[in-house]
Amino acid sequence: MSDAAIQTVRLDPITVEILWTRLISAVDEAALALHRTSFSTVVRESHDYTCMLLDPTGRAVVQATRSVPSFIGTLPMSVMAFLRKYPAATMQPGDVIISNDPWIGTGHLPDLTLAAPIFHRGRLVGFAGAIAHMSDIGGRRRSPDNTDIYEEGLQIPILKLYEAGRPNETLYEVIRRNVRVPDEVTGDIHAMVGSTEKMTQGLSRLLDEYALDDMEPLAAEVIGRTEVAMRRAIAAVPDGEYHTVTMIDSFNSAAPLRIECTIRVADEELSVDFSGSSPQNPSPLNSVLGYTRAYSTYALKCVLLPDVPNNEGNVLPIRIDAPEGSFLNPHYPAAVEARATVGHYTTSAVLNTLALALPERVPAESGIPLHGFTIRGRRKGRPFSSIFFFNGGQGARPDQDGLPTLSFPTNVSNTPVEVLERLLPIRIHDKSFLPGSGGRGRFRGGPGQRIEMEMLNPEGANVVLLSQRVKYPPVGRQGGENGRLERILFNGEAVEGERPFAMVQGDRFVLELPGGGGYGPVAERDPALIARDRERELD
Amino acid sequence: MAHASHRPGSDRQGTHRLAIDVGGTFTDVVVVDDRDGSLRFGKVLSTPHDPSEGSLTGATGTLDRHAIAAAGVGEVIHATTVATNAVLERRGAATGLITTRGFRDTLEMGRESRYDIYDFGLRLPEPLVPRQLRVEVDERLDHLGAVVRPLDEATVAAAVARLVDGGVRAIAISLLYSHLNPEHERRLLELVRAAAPGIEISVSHEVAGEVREYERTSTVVVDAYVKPLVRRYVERLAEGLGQAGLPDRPALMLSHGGIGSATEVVRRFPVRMIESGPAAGAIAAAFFARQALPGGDAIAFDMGGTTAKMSLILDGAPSVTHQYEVAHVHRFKHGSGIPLQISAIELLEIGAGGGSIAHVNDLGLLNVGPHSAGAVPGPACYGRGGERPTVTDADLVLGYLDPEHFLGGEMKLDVEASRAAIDRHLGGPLGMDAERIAWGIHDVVNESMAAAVRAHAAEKGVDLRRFGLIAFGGAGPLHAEAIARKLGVGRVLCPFGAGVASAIGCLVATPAADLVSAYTVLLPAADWAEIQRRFAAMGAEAGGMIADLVGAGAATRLRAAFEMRCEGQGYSVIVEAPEGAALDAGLSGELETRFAGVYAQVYGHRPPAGVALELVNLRARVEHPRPATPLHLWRPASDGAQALKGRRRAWFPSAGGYTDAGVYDRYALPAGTWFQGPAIVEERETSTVVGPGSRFQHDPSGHLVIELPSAEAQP
Repeated sequence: MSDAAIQTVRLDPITVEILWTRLISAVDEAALALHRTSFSTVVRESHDYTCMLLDPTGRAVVQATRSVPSFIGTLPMSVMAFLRKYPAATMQPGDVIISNDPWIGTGHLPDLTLAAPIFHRGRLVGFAGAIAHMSDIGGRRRSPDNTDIYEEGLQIPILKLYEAGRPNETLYEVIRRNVRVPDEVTGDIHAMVGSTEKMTQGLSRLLDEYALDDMEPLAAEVIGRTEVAMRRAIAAVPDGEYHTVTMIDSFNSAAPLRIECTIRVADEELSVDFSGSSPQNPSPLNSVLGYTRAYSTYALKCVLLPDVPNNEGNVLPIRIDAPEGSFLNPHYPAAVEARATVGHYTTSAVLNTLALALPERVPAESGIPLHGFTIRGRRKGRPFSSIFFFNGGQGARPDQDGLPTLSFPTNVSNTPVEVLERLLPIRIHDKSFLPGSGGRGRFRGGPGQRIEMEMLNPEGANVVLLSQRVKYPPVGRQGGENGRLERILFNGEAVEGERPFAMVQGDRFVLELPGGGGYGPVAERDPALIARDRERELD
Repeated sequence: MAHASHRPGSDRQGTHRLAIDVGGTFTDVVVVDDRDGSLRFGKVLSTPHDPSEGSLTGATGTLDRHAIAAAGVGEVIHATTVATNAVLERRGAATGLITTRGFRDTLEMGRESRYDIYDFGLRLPEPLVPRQLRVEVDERLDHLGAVVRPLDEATVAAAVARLVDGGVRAIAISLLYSHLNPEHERRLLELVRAAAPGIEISVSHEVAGEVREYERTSTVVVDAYVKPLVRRYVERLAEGLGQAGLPDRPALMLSHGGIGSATEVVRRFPVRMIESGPAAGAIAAAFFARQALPGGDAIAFDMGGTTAKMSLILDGAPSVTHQYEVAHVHRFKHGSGIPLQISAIELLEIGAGGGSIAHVNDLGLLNVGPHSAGAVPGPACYGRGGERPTVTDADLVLGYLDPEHFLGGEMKLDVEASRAAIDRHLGGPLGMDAERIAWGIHDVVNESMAAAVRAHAAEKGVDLRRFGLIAFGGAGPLHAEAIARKLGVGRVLCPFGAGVASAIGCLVATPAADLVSAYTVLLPAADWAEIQRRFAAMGAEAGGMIADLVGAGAATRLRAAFEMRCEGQGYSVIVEAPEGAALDAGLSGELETRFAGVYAQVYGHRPPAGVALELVNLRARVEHPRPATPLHLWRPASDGAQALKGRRRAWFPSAGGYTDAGVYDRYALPAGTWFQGPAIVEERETSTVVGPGSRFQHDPSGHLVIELPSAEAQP
């Protein structure tokens, strides 16, 4: 270390930029290695994982660039809970703490959360955290019949997976005995541990190179500057109290769920309050508070501060609450596995409400949620089971039409038909845009899609729709019309998706997925765009 | 392009070979004398209205200047951006698409995912075929390729009539599962050809015979879209070459880094030449890596005025991908482009170069790009009206560029203008002096390049510390050593001839053709007679594709590879069969072993135990390796007496600021003698910066090699 280099240690705005880029790079490197070495298809294909560096108190400093919104802000909550059980003074180099408790983590059991303390020159300087969706966690998977968490799989309380570098063999044995694919789950856990090691090395190298004793001066700059920017963005939102009600069809449109969302903006601070929302329910349609917060924060970030990397500064001026015992903050031991189906609507609810304050900046509602299907049955005596997804249209933007068939607010690619039909005994006869499904307006919502499938299996199969939108359409904005509702046809007859469908060979299912809402008055639509849509047979 | 008198290039008794690389600004020509490996260079301005014009004037001008007879040129090899530009600038033909009933929107639905989850303004590339020109026919195959519904020829007539009425000049055909059974596509091709004479047709099973309907459709659409334009271009070029007495059957550099016959490429699948120029650059980098870097592992780094391109060279060969994207609509971000199912040299592109503008962002931090000053108005120091500080301005203030000798002295640079631009736009908000900010700009842009390389290496699972960095482009050598320090790379290579690297790549490339055949079956159930039959058929067909270049009777080499995966997994890896191995059941065990090895390299661990292996695709590559070309790029000076031409102040952080650096004339630098940094090595098109603690020398081939201080000693 030369003396000259030490002179650059002062954290001026250029050094902060360099070190911040380097830290993000170190975390991204660890995340890409985790992605690359993971066995889990969900991790590989849907980027259902994240890595993060946190400070010694559990504040988020840097998060991996590419991950779905589910994980915004959950690792800090987990690490703070870890610290309550294992106080900082008792931590040693080589410790790795693990849990999949939905209430202190990401909201369902298949996601494991790991954190390792990072020591530099003998002092605790931060935590390396990782989350990934396992290939299996035991329990009855994706069953709408689960009524509590005991049915959903193995619960791992906050425990040390490694203590001073020594593996907790007992815990490994318990995990292996409780999952259907023990080698793959163990492999995934090893990959996560590897990613925490990579982050630890990356941070240590950087601290050495820039002669820093710890990460605190950089963390303060990163979080502080982000907080200032977020406060400035909030200050530009007109002060006031905004309230909307967003309805969710759930599995059963006779018993819809209700999200009441109140946003209060006062100067540089903003709060989201879900008081008045439906109580928790005896199905997996419950979103723990951490998940509710993740998708609410995501909505706010997209509108207010999309370009700044994720860290604690984004959330410091923001408060998000949901009443205890509601489906957006359920009590233990509620079933929670299908949290995405309802949790994604918190993004809609927050956007619907924020639109009252910022009508020129918030797009219309998208054709969420993620329209998932599970199919299970037996073919020539062998069981098969699979889940796959289709997407509705994107809500119209304030300055352009919504895109067709786009995953939102999560980010899951479709499965090619040529792959799907190889995996499952079904045939897709149609997968096309649904003309006219996007809400009309100055800008039109993106069209949803029509999917027609036929059961080919002589032994039939059971099909469960994980969501539906047959009653409450994606809402338009600023005078734009709503997107079209979902329609489900079973052998030509309109049905609802609350029950499993026993399909026999030759049965046909048609799904017409909603388009996004429109934006602005229809009368203001550019005639050239009207002509273009007509030419393209999209109106 | 029927010329009765043509002779295949290989039969023509030439002593020289000539390469033409058409770039955005310049067309480069390099001629090699194969008797001694000596090279001659030429450079002319490109002619975007008709790039063949610049190619021809460049070629004839270079031959004239060096008194080489056209008749002595045995082969012309060409790299061109004509196809990629047609897609980027949307200048291709009005194109129609015919699909299976129910699937005309596959092209526009894409993957239904977002490349940036926070951007509500997200844009995706507009499909090359608008919805009204995407038509459906009644037919259906199942996932094994069996006919579920025969092709209804009445619906074909209606579909074609609609496209013809719509004014299309090209038609792409993409039916479900055509990679497994091409019969319906073949019949459709006949019907369309008869109903729409004179219209170019591309068929998906020929262009991209692999599973995944969106990617296959996207590929065949690009192919049809560029075909008419590329055909006209190649015909004009060939005719012009013939008139100049040069071989009128040029070879084309393809995206996979091999060269193929232009006639064949245009006739069969022009989409394969989409990244011709950059592929040629990567082939040159691989050649330099084999020459000058033990192990042959390198990062090729090409930094120009607005963008930087990077590729990985592993064991002396560029890394190749089978999922490529072109024409990105958002900052080269993966997912924002048009996907292509072709084998292509993997390129990483980021939107930062010498012209990138530095600014202070909303967080009060220094950022560089994505806006660029371009050539006009250009950096502040050009004095052409540019007022915003750029990377080039920073490099000038730091003393890395000589204000008097930019571009060999053709242009004077104004240091004070650079300093003033930095002070005016950045000095206030940052509260720092211009020199420190200039270093900041240099350092910030280097850090973002390093971050991109690190991420790419992490995805590939390679350890960069054993790599070298090969620098190209006007700005590459200015930044390479500092980036190498950030990456922990010990050796930087600034090749001689970096300015014409793509043309050199053409000269050292191998004639090669790739084909793929979808064959999905569990390995133990594989029908090896069928596999042999398919490889033989692909070998014959691929051989035909390069016969023009190598002569019909030439001894070519077939490289057989198997795309494999664990049963049930969606991702596969490519396993090469041992060279010359018999393709029979005896190969199974070897494939399993090799699969485990490749899998571990790609994914970092062994495949899960007890899982059955599955074949996905058979991949054949026919090559005609040429004897290693002993190119003599340049002979360095014999002694270093004249090398040190002066000294000037240059800024280095490890020296605490400005320090006295030696300024060297690259053309006078001898081979084999080490010199110490800090130093600036100047040549016409660029300067190479060597920091304190590093040393440099010319190797015998004339490459400038920089050795960085060992990792322990690095600041």
